[in-house]
Amino acid sequence: MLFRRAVEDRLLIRDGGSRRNPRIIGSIDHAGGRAEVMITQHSNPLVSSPWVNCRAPWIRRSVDWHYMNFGRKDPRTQFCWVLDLEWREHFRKRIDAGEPAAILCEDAAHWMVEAMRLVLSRHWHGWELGIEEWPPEWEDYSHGDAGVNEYLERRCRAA
Amino acid sequence: MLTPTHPPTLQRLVEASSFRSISKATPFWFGNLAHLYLEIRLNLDELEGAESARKAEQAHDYIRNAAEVCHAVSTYLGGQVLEIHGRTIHIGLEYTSPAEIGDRMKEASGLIHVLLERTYRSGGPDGWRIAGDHAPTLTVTSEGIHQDTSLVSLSPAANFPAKQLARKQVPRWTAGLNINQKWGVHTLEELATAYRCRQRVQELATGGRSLVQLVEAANAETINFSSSKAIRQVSAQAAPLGNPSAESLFSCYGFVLSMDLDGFTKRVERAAVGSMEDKRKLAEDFLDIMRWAAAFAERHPDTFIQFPFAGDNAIFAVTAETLEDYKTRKKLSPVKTALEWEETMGDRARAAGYGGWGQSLAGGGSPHGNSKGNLHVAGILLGGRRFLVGIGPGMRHARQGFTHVDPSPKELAMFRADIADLHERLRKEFYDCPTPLSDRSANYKKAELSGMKKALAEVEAEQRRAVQSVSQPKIVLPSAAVVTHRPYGGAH
Repeated sequence: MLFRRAVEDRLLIRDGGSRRNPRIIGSIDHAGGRAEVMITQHSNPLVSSPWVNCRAPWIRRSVDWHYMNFGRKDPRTQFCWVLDLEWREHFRKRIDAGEPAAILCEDAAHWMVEAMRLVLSRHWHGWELGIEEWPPEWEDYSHGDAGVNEYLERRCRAA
Repeated sequence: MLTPTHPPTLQRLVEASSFRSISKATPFWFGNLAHLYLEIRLNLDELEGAESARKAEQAHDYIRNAAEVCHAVSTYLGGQVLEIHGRTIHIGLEYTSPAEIGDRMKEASGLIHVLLERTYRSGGPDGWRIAGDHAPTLTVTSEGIHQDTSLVSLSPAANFPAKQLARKQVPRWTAGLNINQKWGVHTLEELATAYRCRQRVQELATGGRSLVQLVEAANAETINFSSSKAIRQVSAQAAPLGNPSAESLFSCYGFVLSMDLDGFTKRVERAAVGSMEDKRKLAEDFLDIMRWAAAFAERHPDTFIQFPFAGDNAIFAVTAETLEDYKTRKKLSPVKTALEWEETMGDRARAAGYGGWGQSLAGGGSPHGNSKGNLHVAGILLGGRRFLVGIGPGMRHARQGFTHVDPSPKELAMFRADIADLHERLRKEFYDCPTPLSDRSANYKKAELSGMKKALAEVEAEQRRAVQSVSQPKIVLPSAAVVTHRPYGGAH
């Protein structure tokens, strides 16, 4: 509930979902206007990052543009807007440090909405300006295990 | 500029001893050659510009049959198929004296007509017509990026029949022949009767074998089907065509670029009346251009299909993996590739004494989501050579750009439906242009490449600004914690 409310505060909500239907439908402002997104939260959004999808026609439905396409109706079709391990470890550390759930949910909602705003803006620019490849200036993790290793290496260096 | 890792080198060429012995080692030949163009009539929208794979298969089937007939007749009369471009097949017949060639061209036309009738029976295309001319001709050969061979004949007589067909000077079911500088149109039925073509085909086709089968049997050693299966992807940038046939087409999304060498006819005319050294120089220069064209495709970061040269016309398709990829690429890539071609090939053409390249570009609008692609390619195997033939709206509209609006060097003609998909800034560079029949083409617009270059630079600058504007990786959370925004590549 805390996470859903925090998300609702940040989006123009069309359908706030419910306990039985965890899907939230709302709009995010991005560089080219406003886009409707569907957010599917898991039972504990601080452990598993929510799934986010958008059906705007300019979305580049390719893994190189951080979009996992299993088909229009498949709930797994979503943006890879964050590395799940990074999300989980970030909040695990803060839960262990005793931070209040309300603050963590505010942070989680903010992180998700801002990350999605950037991803949507990038997709929109890509479409509008004919940017064919994901530019190197837009830092990202590699595909599969390589991406996880990059995160772990980065974490080790920071420690 | 795109520079090949192994730039083609100019070398002194060795002439082949005869028209039919032109090979990689002896890549040119000069001598008397008759040119016959067979054009089969395909319902243009339904077949030649076919978007669906099924219709493209039917079109390819018709073209393959016609090509086999031409191969059979030309082999029988001591010639060979030079080119297959869409629905048009160009054959060359070697001759010794102008006195004999009139009869041989008429005989060949009659035989082609009779064999096509036998091949298609009541089905087949809506008709066919033939145009021909003859003159001393320089023929050169070169390999493309898929290891297919282009055989290009350089002579005014090699262009004239194609022009007569385009000018609609040859009605259906007739042969328009320029024999000893006299143009005449003959019905194919008359020629078949006068030269006893039906009887001759009957005599040759004993035991129910067609002339095609007979000639194929005679050529069995030269048609190496097993080795053709080994035709492979020879460069990283060649589309992995495999071994497509009319039954299993290579279908993909792509747009087609057709580039026409300006001043080609004049240069060929000069060489035709010049010395043997002039002819050798023409062959060397043209061969060099063909090699550089292949090198351009090989080095380009996009994946290309290279079709054989149609005379002085270089034809490429730039392919995309998916419909979505194709739609994205249509914003800038067509214009970018046209500019890169001019940058890489423009000066080479001018240095070789040509005026430069006029370009025509088409993808054919937006294909349907459920089509396998908008470009369907098949290989036709004849006498040990594979001819790549492309079918689709892009092939059709790119070629028609030259007959409709004839872009000059440093000009780009583009199909209107494709201009609509370009970036707004690039669209502004296009202007209306006349056709031979009207003040304003309803299908094409033209643009100056110099203006296009400037427009593209502006779009690229805008791209860089946009990339910078959304490249910040840090997100400050309400709790003042900072996270790095870095999307994941996905589990694939």
